[in-house]
Amino acid sequence: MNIDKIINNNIVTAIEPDGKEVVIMGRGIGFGTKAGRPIAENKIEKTFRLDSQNSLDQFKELLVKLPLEHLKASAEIIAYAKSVLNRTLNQNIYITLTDHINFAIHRFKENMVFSNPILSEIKTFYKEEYLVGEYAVALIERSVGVRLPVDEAGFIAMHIVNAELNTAMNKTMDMTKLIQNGVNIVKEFFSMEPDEGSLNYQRFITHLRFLAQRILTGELLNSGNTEFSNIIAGMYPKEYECSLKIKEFIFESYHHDVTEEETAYLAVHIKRMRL
Amino acid sequence: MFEAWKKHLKRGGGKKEEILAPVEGLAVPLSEVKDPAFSQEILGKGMAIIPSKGRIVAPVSGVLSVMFETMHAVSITADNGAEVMIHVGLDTVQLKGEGFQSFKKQGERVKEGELLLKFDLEGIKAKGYDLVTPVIILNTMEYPNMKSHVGKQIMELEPIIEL
Repeated sequence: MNIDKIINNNIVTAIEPDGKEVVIMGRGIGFGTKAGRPIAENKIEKTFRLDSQNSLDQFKELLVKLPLEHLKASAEIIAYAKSVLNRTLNQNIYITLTDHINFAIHRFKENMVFSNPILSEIKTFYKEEYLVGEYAVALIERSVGVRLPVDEAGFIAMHIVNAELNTAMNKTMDMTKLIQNGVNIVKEFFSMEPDEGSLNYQRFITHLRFLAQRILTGELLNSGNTEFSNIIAGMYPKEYECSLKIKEFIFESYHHDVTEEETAYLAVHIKRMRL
Repeated sequence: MFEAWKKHLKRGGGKKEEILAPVEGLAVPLSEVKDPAFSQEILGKGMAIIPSKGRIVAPVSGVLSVMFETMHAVSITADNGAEVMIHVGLDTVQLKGEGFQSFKKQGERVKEGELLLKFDLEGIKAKGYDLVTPVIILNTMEYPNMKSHVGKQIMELEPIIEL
């Protein structure tokens, strides 16, 4: 196979026999050579194949100035995520996660650290993806020498969750509508006007969004036999009753049965919002 | 800023706040409780006691904010602001109050050491229930330096949690 374009010293593109363009990574693979020359096969470390030309173009654009170590780390994290989660990830994760990691490392070096306001939610609702995030932070420390804060494990987990959803989202559901209706049910039930700027309101919204996503992917939380919902129903009877109304609405509108555990979590968020 | 000071003063200045053991038994970490709601600290941090006596007393002074209808759990809003939940056993909600007796009503004031519940320790155990009793601080986030004493036998009203 011959080089089609040289992106930088470590990245080139080529056209495969079937006419598809691929991106090839390898240290020095684009150094001291020219378009049209054969690719040094022994230097190939990874070949990226993306479905759409549009994604591929975005990817190429991102790669121009990207340190090889960052791309390698990202590719390794994605490979690890695929193997442990055993799920299909949308290929755009090569773009979104690589870009994110590159940016996160730059930010860290400039002492600009973003904290993740929904870290605890991510840990609870996307435990497996969060573990991949922790793995990613350790891998980045090993390969790039930068120890990112735990908040980053959460951000990386969110990228993985999004990549899972994008493949599962074959029918579009009006997520905004679900959130809006959820909020309206609470407003009516308690005749209250929530403070939309408050952190607890934002958490409630985030929770509804996550719930909508879990409904889509059919991955509603259900740890089986746990005291959690009993306790919440006993501690916050009004809020629990309100969350049952949301459960009812979701059942009627989307024909999904929200689990007891999910209903209890909703009640907790409603309670927080009312504090 | 002044609010924080007022709170500080209301809590008795630099004095450590303590939660006392509501029941006699073996103090264990929450991680050993066989229910994720507790072991994963979903409801908050705390500890658990494997009771050796069938009585629960108030671990702090405050208001009995929740007395479960089934009497297997209570929650107290302490005068110092802590929300303390005591949950007697796992799945004991299924007993629907059988084997439990309450001595205080929801909304009543309670004093440290006052009797809240009695339960039939042997009878409930014989039915196959795990009687491990988690003591949880529901508003954990307000107490980042909270410490629990576990791994030993404790008497009723011995300090178990420092906030």
